Amino acid sequence: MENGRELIKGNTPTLILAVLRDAPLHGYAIAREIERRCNHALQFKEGTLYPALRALERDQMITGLWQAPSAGPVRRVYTLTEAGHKELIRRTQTWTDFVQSINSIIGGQPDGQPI
Amino acid sequence: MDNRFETQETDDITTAQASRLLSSYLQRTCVPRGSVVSEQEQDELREEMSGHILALAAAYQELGSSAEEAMRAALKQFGEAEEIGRGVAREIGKRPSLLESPLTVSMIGGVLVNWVTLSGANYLLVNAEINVITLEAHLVGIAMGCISGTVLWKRRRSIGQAALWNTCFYVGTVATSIVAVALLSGNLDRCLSLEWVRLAAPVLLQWLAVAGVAGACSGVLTGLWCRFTRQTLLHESSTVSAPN
Repeated sequence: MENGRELIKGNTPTLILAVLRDAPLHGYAIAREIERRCNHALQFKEGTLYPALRALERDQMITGLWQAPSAGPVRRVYTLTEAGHKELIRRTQTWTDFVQSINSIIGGQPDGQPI
Repeated sequence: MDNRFETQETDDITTAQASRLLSSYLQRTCVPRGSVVSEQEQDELREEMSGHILALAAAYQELGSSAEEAMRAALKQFGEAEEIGRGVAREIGKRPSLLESPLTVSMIGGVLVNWVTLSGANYLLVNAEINVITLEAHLVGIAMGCISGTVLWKRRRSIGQAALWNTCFYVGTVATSIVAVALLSGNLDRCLSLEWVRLAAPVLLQWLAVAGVAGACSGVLTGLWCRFTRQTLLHESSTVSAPN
């Protein structure tokens, strides 16, 4: 979904919060989990996760802790906070409303069903 | 046996190249001008990103790519370094305060240099009393400092380059100022006479030398100030080693 890059860019925080809802993850694992959930349909530049992660951490939606695994490099593992959970619910609702509105316009039907 | 050694050697070369690629890439993720992010935060980000990129590269290597090919593919997947830098600046960067701004330092340097220079030129060419505080001198100084600071800001020069730039810039401006003062004061004919050149040349050279030294000092001062305030303008790339 090459053309969806701008859409993904604007919704990167939502994707991060969504994958962190189930378990704490580090950056690389977050990228892999997003890829797995969308079945490789979303093509995005993984480096863009990091500014988004820092912004979410600054806004206290997630917390990051450095962890040294028994093998491999140290990694910063992120966990969803209570505020992050609420933010995810809010963002999910906003996204759902948005999609419904766009579908209504595209389909020309007030019920939001596409053509 | 020889073939095995050759293969090992080739692997080492591509691994070294991959390492250089990563290092260069991480340097380019530094925050763009106009934004301040602490060195510690930048280093942490780079370390975190380097772990991610190395993991991606390892996955490509498992698929059969050489170390260098794998690194190139991983970096491509990771995204454009400058774009990431812009993202970091946008999300966590802070605007530099007035005191942290190299423009401020350059402006102060510009005012001082022009104060000396124009006063000297005034004395030399118009043969008047030394008029050290003129509004024009300060305005030209501020403009000169702004131009110089903006160029440094845009080009991200090192401290040495900043000193060289300011030296050339200030000397050039001083020479122009002297000619301008000569023209404005109506003394051009006098200034073009051989007798006057013979008398004035040593003094002019002295003033140019003073401007050169002042420019170099102002360049070094700007660079040191930026480093002190952890600005990225003259951010000298710190070597970030990839985690083992």
